[in-house]
Amino acid sequence: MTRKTLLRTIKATFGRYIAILAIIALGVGFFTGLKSAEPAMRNTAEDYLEELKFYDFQLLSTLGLTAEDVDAFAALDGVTAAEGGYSMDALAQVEGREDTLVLEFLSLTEETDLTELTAGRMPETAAECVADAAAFTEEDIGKTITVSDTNDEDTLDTFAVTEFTIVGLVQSPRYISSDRGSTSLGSGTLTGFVCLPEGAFSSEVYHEILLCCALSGSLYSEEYEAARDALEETIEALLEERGLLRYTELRTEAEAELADARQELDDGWAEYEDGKTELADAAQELADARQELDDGWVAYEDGKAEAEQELADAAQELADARQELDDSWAEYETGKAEAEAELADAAAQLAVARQELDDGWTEYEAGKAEAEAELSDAEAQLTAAQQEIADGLAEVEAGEAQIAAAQAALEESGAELAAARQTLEDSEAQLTAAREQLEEGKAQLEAQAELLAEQEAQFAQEKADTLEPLEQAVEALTAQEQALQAQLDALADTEDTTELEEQLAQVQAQLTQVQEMLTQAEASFAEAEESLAAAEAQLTAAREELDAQEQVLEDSEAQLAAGWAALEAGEAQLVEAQATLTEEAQTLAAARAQLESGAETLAEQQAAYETAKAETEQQLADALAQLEDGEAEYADGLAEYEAGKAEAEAELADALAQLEEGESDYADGLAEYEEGKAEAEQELADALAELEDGEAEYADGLAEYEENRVEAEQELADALVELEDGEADYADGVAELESLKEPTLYTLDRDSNSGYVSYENDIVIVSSIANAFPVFFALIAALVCITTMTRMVNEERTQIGTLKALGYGEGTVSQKYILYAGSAAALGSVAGYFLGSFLLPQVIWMAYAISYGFADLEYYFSPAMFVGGLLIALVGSVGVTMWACRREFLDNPAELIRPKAPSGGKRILLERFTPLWKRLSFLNKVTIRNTFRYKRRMVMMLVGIGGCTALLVTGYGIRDSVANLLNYQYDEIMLYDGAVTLGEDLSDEEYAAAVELMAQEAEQYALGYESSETISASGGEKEATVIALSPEDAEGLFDLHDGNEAIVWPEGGEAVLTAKLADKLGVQVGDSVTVPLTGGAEVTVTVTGICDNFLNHYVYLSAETAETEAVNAAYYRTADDDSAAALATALRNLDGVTYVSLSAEERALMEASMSSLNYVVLLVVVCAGALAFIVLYNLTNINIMERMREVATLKVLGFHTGETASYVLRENIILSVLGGVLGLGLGKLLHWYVMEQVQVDAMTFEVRVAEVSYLYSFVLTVVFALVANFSMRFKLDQINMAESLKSVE
Amino acid sequence: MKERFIVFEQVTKEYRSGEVTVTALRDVSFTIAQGEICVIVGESGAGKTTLLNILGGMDSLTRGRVLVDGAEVSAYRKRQLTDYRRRDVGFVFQFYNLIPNLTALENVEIAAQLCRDALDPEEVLRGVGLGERLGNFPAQLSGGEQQRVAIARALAKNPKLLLCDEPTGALDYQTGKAILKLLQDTSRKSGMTVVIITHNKALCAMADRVIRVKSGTISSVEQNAHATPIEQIEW
Repeated sequence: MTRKTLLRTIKATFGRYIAILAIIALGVGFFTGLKSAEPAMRNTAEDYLEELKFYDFQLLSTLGLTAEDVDAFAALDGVTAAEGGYSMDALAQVEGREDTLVLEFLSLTEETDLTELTAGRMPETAAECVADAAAFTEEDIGKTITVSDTNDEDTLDTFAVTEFTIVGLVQSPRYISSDRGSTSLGSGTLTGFVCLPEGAFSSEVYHEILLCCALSGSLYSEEYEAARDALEETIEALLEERGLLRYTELRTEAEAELADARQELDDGWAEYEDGKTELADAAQELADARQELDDGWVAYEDGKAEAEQELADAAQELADARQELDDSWAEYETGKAEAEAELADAAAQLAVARQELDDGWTEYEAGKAEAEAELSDAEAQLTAAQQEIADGLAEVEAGEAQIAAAQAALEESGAELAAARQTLEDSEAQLTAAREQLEEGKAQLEAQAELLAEQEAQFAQEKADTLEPLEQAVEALTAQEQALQAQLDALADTEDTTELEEQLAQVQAQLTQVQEMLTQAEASFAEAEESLAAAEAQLTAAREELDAQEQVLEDSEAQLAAGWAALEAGEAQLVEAQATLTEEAQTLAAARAQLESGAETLAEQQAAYETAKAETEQQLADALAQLEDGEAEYADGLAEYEAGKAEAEAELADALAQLEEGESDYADGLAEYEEGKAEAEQELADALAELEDGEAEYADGLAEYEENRVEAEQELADALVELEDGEADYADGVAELESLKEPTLYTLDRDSNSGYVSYENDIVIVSSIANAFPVFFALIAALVCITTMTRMVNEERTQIGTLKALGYGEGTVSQKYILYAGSAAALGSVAGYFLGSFLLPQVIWMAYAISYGFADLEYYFSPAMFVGGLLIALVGSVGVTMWACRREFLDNPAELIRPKAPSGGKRILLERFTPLWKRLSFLNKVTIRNTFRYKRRMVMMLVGIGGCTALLVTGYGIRDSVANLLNYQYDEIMLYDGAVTLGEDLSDEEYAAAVELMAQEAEQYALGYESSETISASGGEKEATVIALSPEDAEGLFDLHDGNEAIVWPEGGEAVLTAKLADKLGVQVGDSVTVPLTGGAEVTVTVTGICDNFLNHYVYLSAETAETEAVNAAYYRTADDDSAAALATALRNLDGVTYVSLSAEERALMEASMSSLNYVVLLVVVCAGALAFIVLYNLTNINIMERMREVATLKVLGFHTGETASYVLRENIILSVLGGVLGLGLGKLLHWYVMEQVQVDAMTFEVRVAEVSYLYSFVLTVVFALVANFSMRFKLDQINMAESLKSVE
Repeated sequence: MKERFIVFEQVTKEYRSGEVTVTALRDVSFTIAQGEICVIVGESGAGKTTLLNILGGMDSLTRGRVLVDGAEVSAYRKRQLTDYRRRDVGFVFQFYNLIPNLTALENVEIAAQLCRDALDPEEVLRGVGLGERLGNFPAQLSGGEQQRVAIARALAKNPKLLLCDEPTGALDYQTGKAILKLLQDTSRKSGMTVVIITHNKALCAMADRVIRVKSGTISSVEQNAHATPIEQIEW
């Protein structure tokens, strides 16, 4: 039964089942996948290196190694194989490629360091080779590689054959990473390696000896390292011994050879010097002859120049005289023309003056006549105006008399009107009195009339009161009578009617009596009515009289009103007349004023006329005087003109006479010059003939000398070349002997192999990530299980109750849920284990394939992890389920059968802030309430989404930390662009050349000491690079600092250590460390600073401490990378420069190898996305299930699809955003933890996440959340509205 | 007053599950006039709810036509149906279906904000006698009060048509009566068309029109000229 329901439940809730399964699979898969990646990678490398017999030690000597050395090492205990090999970097051309490559030529070894053939075949003759599979492709097979002629002699000497055909491609355990290392040749970077059969090399000695040893311990293990270090001491000692032996042999041989060579050279030099002297004597004789001739030539040239100069001077003098004459002629002509022009002008001016005078006269006459006419007109006008004004004054006086008469008449009529007004006022007073009397009479009359009406009313009342009872009595009695009569009639035939008749009679009597009373009363009333009528008539008469009086009164009042009207009209007329009169008087006054002002103007005009007349006369007199003056002036001018003309003519005649005299002088001078010139030319021709004879003689002598000289010189030159070659050879020999120092010996273990070391570093990073991340997935898997199972048990609460009520035990009931969760967990963990173990290491391996593509990954399956993962998943999920069931069992069956009351609405804290709350829409309100309604789900969501963001932050953060490492190291600490390694046997010239080149090309450079040494301190030993520079030089090339605090470059006896080195040595500021220097010396220095550093380990010293003679390195800084690279190429071409490393290249190399991290980050991002999706899907699913009715109701209410979705999903978005924010903080912590785990010896990671990484993480989280929510929309769409009609379950 | 306010013409509804076809309604035709209280009565499974779903725009029909106020609801597409429910229909459910996380007032407001000419939610709640309980959550209200909130929610939309599905089904006798009275009063006062679906035959007395459903068909349609006031109905 259980199985059936179980299967049915799984089918019904397949989404949920899959969600649990998936989250567990993801958790287990991620855990096992990441955990197995590191052993898988380690095993892959271990097997690969084992199979190819990768050397444990590589021995090098600067003097080379012999076959005897190889035998000596092979015989050593612990060494399983020893083999000598060749290794030479050389420039080479590959067929089909244009550029020259730098390749490392290795010999094929047989017992150690085997190669793995990936294509083609192994070489069979010395002219065949196999090439680096990473640098060459299968298409290159069959092509030839040629060692360039441009290589130096030593290099070329190493090869017996210089052309090789590629017959196959190989991989070498030396190069498990893509980094091929660096070289002192060409660009400084090796393109790849080429393996040759041993016969292709012609070197006497081996370049290296490779040792494979029987060492315990697995790859990279501490056990292996300990065993290796123990053996290393023995090997080093033997190498030292063998090196010294070789040195002694070489030295003895070389010294003997050198002594012979010296003797031979000295003889040659003596012979050479004799020949040279003979040749020099002949040359001296010729030189003397030449000197004599040259002197003669000089004298001739001087004489010639002198004569020519004299002649030229004379010619110049003549030319000057001619010029002067010409100028005088020109001047004379100009003067003449000028004088004539002046005279003509004067005559013209005189003519003009005459004309002006004539015009003046005419004008004067005309003006005079005009002025006289004007004056007589003005006089006539003035007289007429005086007459007009006199007339006007007479008129005005007449008008004034009229007005005075009219004023008198008006005053009279005013008096009349005042009298009339008085009369009218009197009669008005009388009328008012009459009216008052009338009103009084009227009032009396009304009072009487009222009294009368009252009496009439009283009378009517009395009448009614009296008559009515009487009439009623009559009526009653009549009725009684009739009744009795009727009774009587009815009883007519009976005897006993008497009584009735009596009664009737009585009634009739009463009736008569009453009727009588009635008649009397009526009579009295009639009388009263008559007297009333009389009173009324009287009253009417009085009223009529009053009305007549009133009529009279009204008539008088009308008359009075008419009188008033007439009076007012009269008064108005009077006022009007007065106004008219005043107006007329005003008009007259105005006219008078006008006239008076007219008379004044006239007087003024008369005065003006007098003045004008006087003026005009004066003007006429002035004009006449002027005209007379003009006539006098004109006469003077004419006289002057005549005098001037005579003078000018005399002057011109004098000038002409002078000029003609000058012309005759010039002709004499010219004749003299021609004579002198002919004489000088003859003298010069004689001297030239003499000199040319001397030249011919010299030429003969020179030809003779040249003939013999060529021969002699050739002989001498040959001898010199020979001698110099000999000297150079000898010097080389001496230098060689001098430089033949005891060999420098190197015992290199695997830690010197960059591929081996970087692979270890990457494994460490992978394993650190593996330690941190899966914890998260496990946590979230557990949370998802808790929510899902709790929800499931809650949903089936009623069913549980029913089963319990039916009598099933708790175990039986919970079995179903335990199986449900358990089976999902089991399936999930098995699937997760296998998927994880296969997929994740493979993905990581693929990411690292860029750097390490040496073999296919060997998967690693750990049974312990399988069992562990399964157990944890089972225990976790089953435990959670049992806990959920137990909670339900706490209720009794009766309660269980009833549905659990839905979580009721609650007010939340935010609602206390009423102003804010009121502003929210209902959707927002309900969203916010819902968000806090289900606490557990809220926590789940926050943890899930937060975890997702945290993973993303960590992923991006790892990338940031690693990327920044390079930035910090190369941009902030190592400021130099290039580091130069100088040869130990550097000559002064070579040194000077290098320094000069840097001084020219670099912005800054410094010379110092650099060496890789084992530093020791009380706390331990550590390999580090020692750099010694003077403090002044270091400024600008190195920036030592601790955080933001700068560290001063050490002085003598001081040292600055990089942080990680100091940590490893257990050293603090103030402690002392011992630093070995070249030549076995050691110095003990005090640590004065510990500086930040991110790559490798350094000890910084002052040049003083390291002794300045030991210059072996230089550092330089240029404006940009291009010039740094150009300088590096130039320096590499110099002798004595061993190696130049460029910061930019090293950085690029590191960057390339770190790019694998991007894939690891991508992996994290994908997994985080999956996590977010599962969490969101699961929680939203539960949310929707729980609120199915609510959603259906909203749909019925008419919510559109989008509105419904936002109602439900908005809280997800809010929680996603909150979770994302939480995750940012969490991510920072997780990142910190992971970076703490990543312990790579040569690298220091800065624990910092870039701001933009936080942004990416957050945005990605929100995008994941939106995608998950979007997919839930369809689920919402499918909710049937009929759900709303169902009863609460 | 439109006589043919709601018109069902030959409506057939079939449910298909796999190869089995179940006919829930067969050729159902009737009309309801505007302003009437109409009771649709029938046994469980007679097709009442299907009828209600179709009338309420919650379900489609297989054949036939449904017209409400002249518009052919049966031809509406999904979005139009949503708008129809939003504007023209007010629902009262058997189990109230209030949103537990909103107060009484907010439950009404959430419906009121959906349509343009909505009534003032507070007024409506006062109208159903809940002026004092505006700020209470559904869990703090009795069943009758919750149903009143539900009715207020339906009325606030000012719909053309009020659809009630067993409105008294979950209430005790007295409370049920009060709710029915509220519905009857509302219809009489505002002239709203009210359709009540119930299996309780006693409610037929309060209706202007009674439609009896039996096995997916209409067995009778009666018009009741003198509807009985609720107070006088007993069951």
